[in-house]
This record gives sequence, C-alpha cells and structure tokens, in this order.
Amino acid sequence: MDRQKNNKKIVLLIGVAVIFCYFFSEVVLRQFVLHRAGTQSISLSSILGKLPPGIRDEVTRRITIAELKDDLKAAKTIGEKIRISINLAMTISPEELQKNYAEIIEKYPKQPESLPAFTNFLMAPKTALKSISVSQYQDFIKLLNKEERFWAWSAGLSKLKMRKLSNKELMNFLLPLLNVKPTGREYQQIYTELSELAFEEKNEGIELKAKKFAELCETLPYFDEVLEKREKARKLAKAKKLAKAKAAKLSKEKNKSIKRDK
Amino acid sequence: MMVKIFAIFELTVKKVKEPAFSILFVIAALVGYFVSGMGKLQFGKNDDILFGLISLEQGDPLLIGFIVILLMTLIVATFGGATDIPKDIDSRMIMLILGKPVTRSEYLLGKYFGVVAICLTFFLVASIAAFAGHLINTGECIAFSVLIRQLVLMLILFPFVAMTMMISAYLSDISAMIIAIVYVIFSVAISAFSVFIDMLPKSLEVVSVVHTIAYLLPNYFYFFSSFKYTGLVMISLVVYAFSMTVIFLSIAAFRLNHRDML
Repeated sequence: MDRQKNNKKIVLLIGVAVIFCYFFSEVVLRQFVLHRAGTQSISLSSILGKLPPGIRDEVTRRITIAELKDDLKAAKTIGEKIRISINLAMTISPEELQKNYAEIIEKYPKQPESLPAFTNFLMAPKTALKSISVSQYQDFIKLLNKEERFWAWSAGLSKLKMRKLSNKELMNFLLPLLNVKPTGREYQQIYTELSELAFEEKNEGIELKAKKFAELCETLPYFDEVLEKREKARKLAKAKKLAKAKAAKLSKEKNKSIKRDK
Repeated sequence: MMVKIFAIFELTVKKVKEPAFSILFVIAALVGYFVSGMGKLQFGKNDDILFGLISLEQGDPLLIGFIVILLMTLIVATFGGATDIPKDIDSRMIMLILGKPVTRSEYLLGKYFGVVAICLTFFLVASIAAFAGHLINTGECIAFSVLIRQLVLMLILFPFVAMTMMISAYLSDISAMIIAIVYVIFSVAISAFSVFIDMLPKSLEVVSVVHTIAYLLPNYFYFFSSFKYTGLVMISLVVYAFSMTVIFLSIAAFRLNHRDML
C-alpha cells in the first residue's frame, strides 16, 4: 500500500514538473517570438488592411480603444491622463465624451488640459450634464499660459456663437481682453471681432480700444514663430553644450596621452 | 520494463521490412534528392503574420527542401501514429500482447518509440538524399551548422507522434487520422492568432480567452524560428517538445488504462 502511495506521489510530482516545464518553455518561446516580431516591426495595419471594410473599421476602433486604455494606465501626469481620457471617450461614443468632460471638470477644475471640457459646457443648456458660466470660464482662462489663452478665447467665442448668444453677451465675454496687452498676432482676429461687436452695440469706447489693440497685434509675431525661435535657441544651446563636453573630453584625453608619453 | 518496451518497439519497427515501407523509403530518397535544390526559407514584410511568427533574421537558415521533407514525414507520422493502436485493437493483437506480462503503458511507450523511429528514419533518409543531391548538383556541402538547423526540425516529430497516438487511443484509425489533421490545423490557426493577439494592446478583452485556448494546443511555429543552438531558446524548444510529448502520452496512457479492449 505504502509503495503504491509513493508511486502515486512520484507520478503526481512528475506531472506537476512536466506541466511547469511546458508553461515555462512556452512563455520563453513566446517572448522570443514577440521580441523578434517587435524588432522586425510587423505591420499591423497591413494585416488589418486585408480584412473586409466593415470588420476592419470595427477592429481598428477596438484596437484604438485598447491602445488608449493601455496608454491611460501608463500615463504618469494628470495632464496626460486628461488628454488620453478625452481621446478615449471620443473614440467610444459622443455620450461617453460628455460624461468624461463632466468628470474632468469635477476632478480637475484647475488643470490647463481641462480646457476642452470647460469649452464644451460653456453656457450649456440645463439639460446638459454640466453648465459653465462665462465668468467661470474667464476665471479658468487665467490659469492657462499665453498660447493656450488664445485658443481658450477663440474656442469659447465660437462655442458662444454656436449657442446663439446676443452680440452684447458676446462682447461682454471678450471684455477682459481689453485689460491685458495682446501677446500674439493671432489675437488680431478676436480684437477685430470685439470692435465689430462694440460698433453694433454702439459702444464707441470699447470699439476704439479694441481697434487699437488689433493694430498693435499686427506688430507682434505669431505664436508659431515664437515657438519656432524658442525651439531653435534650445537646440543651439544643446549643440553648444555637447560641443563643449566633447572638447573637454578631447582635451582630457590629450592631457592623459601627454602624461603617458612623459 | 525497458526490455518490454523494447520488445514492443521491435515489433512496431519490424513493419519496415514490408515492401510498402521499402517503397516509402525510396520515395523519401527521391523527394530528398529533388528538393535539394530549393533555397532558404525567407519572409518579406509583405508576408505579414508569417513574418512576425517565424523569425529568420539571425542564426542559420532553414532550407525549404527540408521543410518539404518534414511535411512528408508528418504525413507518415499521422498515418503511423493514428493507425497503429486502433489496428492492434481491431485485430485483437493487443489482447495477445497484453496477455503477456506487459502493462498498457509499456505497450504504448513501445508503440510510440517504434513510430517515432520509423518517422526519424524517413526524415533522415530523405535528408541524406537531399544532402547528397545538393553535393552532386552544386559541388558544395551544406555547412555543418546549417545541417544541424535542419535536423532540429526533427524535434517536432516527438510531440506530433504523441499527439496522433493520443487521439488514436480514443478513436478508430480513420477517425483518428481525420481528427489529428483537424487538430493540427486548429493548433496552427490558434497559435498564429494568439501570437498575433500578443502584438495587440493588452486591454483587448479577447487576449485572455485566446491565450487559454492556445495553451491547450501545441505551437509548431516555434520550431521554425532561427536561434543560437547554445541559447535559452534551444533549451526551451527541447523542453517544450519533451513536455508536450509527456502530456500527450500521459493522456493516451490514461485512456488505454481505462479502455475496454474487447
């Protein structure tokens, strides 16, 4: 009986070892194939391209959603999280996007990346999940940097136009722009619009000031130009730093060789 | 125990003396000679999934001729593995054997090694003919390391024969052959699909289901990739083949031990 029991135990142990070996070797071989496939960069799109259009679109959408979910899990900063979650919700459905925007406003009201959510609910009707007043939106703009502010004003204005607000309300929305000097040529369009709105509302003071700012904008560079210059300067500084480091390394090596010769 | 297994093995291998097998080996030699001129197995980026599944970038190349030889050997293995045990059961030969002090597991192992030996002989005869054909046609020998790579293909035969014998332990000869072929086709499809799925984002819910199914089926693609003979991949490949063989044979042994042979 004891011998039989021992035999059974040995068989069981061998069975477990064999199954372990099977799974272990399978994992190693799979990782090897995947690693190689990665270095060879197998073209997923070319495989998808062979599917019928109806299936392909659905599969592509699912893959995009899965990729975005993976990216969302891997996101390190809040800004990244917001950006990816918006893209993800956009890919899933319009309803999901609305839910996501409302969630973003609740969770991250002071993050610059929440701008699309604030714009979406700017003066939204009562039936919407959320509504942002003009003053709330203007306060949010203050949290943004120079370039983002222009996009926030521009997007806000077009949203309010879409909501069919009166000229007076549109003018009031843009009024804070008269308290700060314009920072880029792009603003010219907004100031011109403001002066036109003021003209229609017969407010000469605002009209003149807006015109003056619009003229001032003409003398300013575009944001793209500023960014380009900044990028060039950064690259130049980096190149200089590298050259310096190289020179220092070379001189060190020279010194070493001289010492050796001596 | 080894003597009993060897006795069954001898009984199985004795079949080779039959004229049909002599013709088979002549065919093997002819096939080997005619495929000796075929070039290396190569995949381009347009071959999509095969390009990802079978990596041929490093290590010694696989020759198409030897793959043809392997496919022919697998056909022989399907016939041999799937028909041997059912034939013995039908002809009551098994009762004669089991009437002697031979256990069912010993009978199975003897049969298994016998069929494997026949398949290996077929493969080697064809390989020697291919080698000779190459030498006659080009005046050059196939490099030793390249030859070894072709011979590594023989590893497939061990789990393959075990798999066909496992199926034949449950079914009659014709059914076993058909089911074995279907099982192989299904394994190839699922293996390809599971590796392809691994290249997709992890958040796709289909991943875990496909992997679970894939683990139940052998992945023959692993045997076709190129690798170093001394590395972990080679060891894993041997372990993979060995463990699969043991699993298949254990299932077959379990069935034979519980089967009514009458």
